[in-house]
Amino acid sequence: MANDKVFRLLGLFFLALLLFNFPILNLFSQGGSLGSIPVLFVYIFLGWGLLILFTARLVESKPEQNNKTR
Amino acid sequence: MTDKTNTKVLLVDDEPNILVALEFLVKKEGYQVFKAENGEQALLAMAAHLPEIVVLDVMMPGMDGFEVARKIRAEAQYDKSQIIFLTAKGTQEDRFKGYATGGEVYITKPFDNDDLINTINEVVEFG
Amino acid sequence: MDAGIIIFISIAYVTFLFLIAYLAEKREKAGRSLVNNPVIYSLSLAVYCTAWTYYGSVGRAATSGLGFLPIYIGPAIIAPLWWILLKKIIFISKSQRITSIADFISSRYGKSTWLGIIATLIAVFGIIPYISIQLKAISTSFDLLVTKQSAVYRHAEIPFYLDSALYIAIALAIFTILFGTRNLDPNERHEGLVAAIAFESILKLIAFLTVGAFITFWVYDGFGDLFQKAMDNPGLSRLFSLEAAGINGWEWFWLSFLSMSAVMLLPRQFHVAVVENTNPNHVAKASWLFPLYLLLINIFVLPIAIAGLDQFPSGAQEPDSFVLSLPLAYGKDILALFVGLGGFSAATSMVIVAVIALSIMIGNNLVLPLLLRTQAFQEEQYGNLSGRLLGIRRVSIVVVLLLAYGYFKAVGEQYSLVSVGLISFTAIAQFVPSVLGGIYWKRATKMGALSGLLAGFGIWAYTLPLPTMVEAGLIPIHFMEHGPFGIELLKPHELFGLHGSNHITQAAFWSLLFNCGIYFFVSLYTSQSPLEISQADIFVDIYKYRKGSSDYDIMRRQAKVQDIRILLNRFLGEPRGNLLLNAYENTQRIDLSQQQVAGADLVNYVETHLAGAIGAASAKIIIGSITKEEPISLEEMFKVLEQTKEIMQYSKALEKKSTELERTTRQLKDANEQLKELDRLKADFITTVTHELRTPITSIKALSRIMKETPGLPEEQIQEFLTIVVSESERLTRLINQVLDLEKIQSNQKNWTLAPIDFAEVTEMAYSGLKQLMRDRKIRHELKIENRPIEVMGHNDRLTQVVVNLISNAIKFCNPNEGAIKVNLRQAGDMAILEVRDNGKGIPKKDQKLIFEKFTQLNDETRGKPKGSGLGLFISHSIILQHSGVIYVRSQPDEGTAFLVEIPLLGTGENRGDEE
Repeated sequence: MANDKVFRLLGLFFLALLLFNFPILNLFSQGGSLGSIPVLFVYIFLGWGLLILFTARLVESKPEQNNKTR
Repeated sequence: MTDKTNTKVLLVDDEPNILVALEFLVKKEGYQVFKAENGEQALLAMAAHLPEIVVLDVMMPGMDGFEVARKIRAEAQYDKSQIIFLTAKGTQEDRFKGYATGGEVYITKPFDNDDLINTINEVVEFG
Repeated sequence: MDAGIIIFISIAYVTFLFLIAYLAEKREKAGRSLVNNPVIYSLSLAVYCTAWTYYGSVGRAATSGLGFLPIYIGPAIIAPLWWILLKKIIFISKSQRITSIADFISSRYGKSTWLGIIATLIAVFGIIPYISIQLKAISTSFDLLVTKQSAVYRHAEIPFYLDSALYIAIALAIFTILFGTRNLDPNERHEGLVAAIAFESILKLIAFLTVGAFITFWVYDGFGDLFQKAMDNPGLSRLFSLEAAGINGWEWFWLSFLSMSAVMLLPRQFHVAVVENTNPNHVAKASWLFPLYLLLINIFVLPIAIAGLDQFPSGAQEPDSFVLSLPLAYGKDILALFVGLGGFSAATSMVIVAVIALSIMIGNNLVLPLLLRTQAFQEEQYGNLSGRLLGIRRVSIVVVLLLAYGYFKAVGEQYSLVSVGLISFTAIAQFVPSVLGGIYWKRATKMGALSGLLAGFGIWAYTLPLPTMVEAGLIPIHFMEHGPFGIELLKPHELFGLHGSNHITQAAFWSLLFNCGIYFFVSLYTSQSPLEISQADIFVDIYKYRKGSSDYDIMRRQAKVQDIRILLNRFLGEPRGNLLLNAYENTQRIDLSQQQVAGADLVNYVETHLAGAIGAASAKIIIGSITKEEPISLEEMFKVLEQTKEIMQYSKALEKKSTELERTTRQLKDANEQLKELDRLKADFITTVTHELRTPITSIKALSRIMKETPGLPEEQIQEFLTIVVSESERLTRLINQVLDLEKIQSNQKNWTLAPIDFAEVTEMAYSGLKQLMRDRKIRHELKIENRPIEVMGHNDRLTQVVVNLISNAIKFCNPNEGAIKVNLRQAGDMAILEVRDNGKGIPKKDQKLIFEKFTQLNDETRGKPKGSGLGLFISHSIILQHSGVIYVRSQPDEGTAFLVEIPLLGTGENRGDEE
């Protein structure tokens, strides 16, 4: 159902809001590196990439789009 | 072949003119005919004659045809009586309602004379 | 490098942009739109990335590491919600032909002029700092490319006529005017502009990636090498921890929040995302393509910043220009030029779109509404207004750019790009409550939005731009240190004693807190006008309206077709005006030249199209000047609903108190329900009439077939059958006549002329016609008429029909053995009252209301089947309604029935007659 899509998108939004804010962000902000790349840098850009991937999968899911939106 | 002269048919319709036509047709086919002009009379006739066939108009003042059918079905002594509904309302919804109350057959007004008789014959023969 | 070459390249680049725009517009006209494509749409959204991103992010990263990122993470976080939020805003805006964010807010809250003005002012003052940093970026990058040194001179110290930034501002103004104001598009869509912006987005991305790759992989040995060097350097390794770089969670949160709102509500973002949108479904792709773009353009920011800090440890170069100074330091002039061009494209795209968006707002929501109120303007009848509108826009473009230049010269230069940009973001975030509340909360009122916006804007102005003026020396310094009048609690950067917070964060917090709070509470304690209610309903339930129920037309307006023509010609020019009206004639299949008066439908059509050109509030004022409008005319509604008695009673209750708005909407909804009910009843009517038709046909058909197919039928039986056939045929004829009668009455209602007649005479005539019948049936009958003549406004034949009908009914239903009928006509007050009483079984209470409805009457079961169709009472009821009268029944079971008709007497009732 289209409503599911709305809830999934909302869920993704809140998840991203949580993961890209303190205090979670601070866990990765203590210095340190991953194969000479800073942990924070890796965390943010990797997470960002995944967020884009999930958003793309959700919004492009075609069969659900045929239904009425609400 | 069932013996038609021993088969009783009760005709129920609030329109006397339609009853005239029904009576003529059914009698001509050889059945034994009883008439009623409303629900109350129909139930009295049921008790008096135990007809095998009831041709029942749906839209009647007072007790309507469906209600009459429900009352008939509620009594075990009428288990052998078969009901044929006759109605001027031919919507699908009414049809379902007819079956749900225990009516087996449903004929729409204005009916075709041969159809009506054939239907009665079939019901008599095959139940 | 030679300044001439740089100028030449810049001009060549701009010319190339025009070429792209020209080609895009040509393709659009050929029906093969280039822009109608989700990728182009996503790229146009990347106008979000300005010189701030291009130069400023690196500068910010040089001091706070990944602290520059919330500005891009924010949009990435909100992007999943675009499919819900942005799409809804687009649907609303397309249906209302909204042209800007200010227009959106004004339109939602009852097309309020004031709200449009306030929103425009917030947008303009909020964005000016933002535009100023683009000027700054262009001019410093120009200086840097020419002199290869950062900050050789300060713009504030040289006279304005020698200042390159001024000429850049002027060039940008010309450029923007050429791009955005060549003609007045009724939908404010500029495909050429969008194509050029999309191209600029590609260019700036490629340029930035090129310089990033150059630094990371050519100057250094990849990311690993670069980061390793930084981690070995104690001064730089702090950049990898947010806390060490001075960023806390509170600040991070607010920055990402501000950018979430900015990416949708900044005037230029709203313009490309909503106004220029060609297909709402493009939002789906954009919600991941755009974050992807942001990710790509940001991946090299930190590496470039680190490289800059590593290469220029002395601080000889400003971090905001590392992007340029690094390639220059390695002697890569061509690369630097390309990078400079990328920066130029980032800045120009922002300036062009932002200024066009602002000029639309200023024109439609600020200047025009004010202008329209002046007497002189209203008197001026003709003249090309569309030219004038464009003029207003051109002037506002120049004014905005000059203001931006002024801000740059006065204060902007001392601040980093990012800190100035954030001032603008905070201003725009003030729109969040009004917009979000506007599309999800119907109760939100104009006063709520207005006061919330003003409060938020006031706090913003006080805490952000004001202090920058202090530091620029325009306001004494003690103001900042001790607060105004020495009140410490009012110190702009520590408002209400909030210490230890970055000034952007605290400004955002306080302004939005007050904005939201006031918006919410004022909304709860103020009420909405009918227009606000209907707009709120449209905005919140846009999907319902898209499904095509336009029954909610609150405004019933009329205007002269001629006025509409003049108006369209004035505002849109004659060709487009004619085009619009022709389109309307074609879709509605009508010929306007045959009509004097335009109905509500055409007026609404014209208003929405005008709104596209000049904004909702202006359009409302203009249309208002030529229309007669009454909010929710109930009479109007009753003409549609006419039939049921309930609605008449309803009307009376309404006439008494029609002011309460809440009630009005509720009633509208009820009326809608009743319309649906009416529909259902109509379907019932058809089945019932069908039933009534089938009954006689059944006997006729069956008996005729019998006669035809039974040879040797006895003569007397044939006679009996034929008698039945004849009488059933007559029954059929009667029924058909009555249905036709009913149809006639219903369709001809408007054409009746009522004339003064004597009701007493009518009654007497009808009565005497039925006397014989009553005698035959041995019914006692009596007619009493007091104080004749009884003059009423009436239709002779119709009234006779009513009286005959009532008496026939009485004959049918009176006591079958000892029938008695009394007819009484008298005057009471200003009414004539006719009473027809029988002594039959009476009508049970629950059925008394139903008997006047044509549908329930036919299969009336409680009184036995009536002879005839039973349509008579319904017909009588319709006729009496036309006489501004009422018909009702008084009856007790077993005590007979009295039908009463009341009609206003002549000389007292004309007024009421007119209303119907």
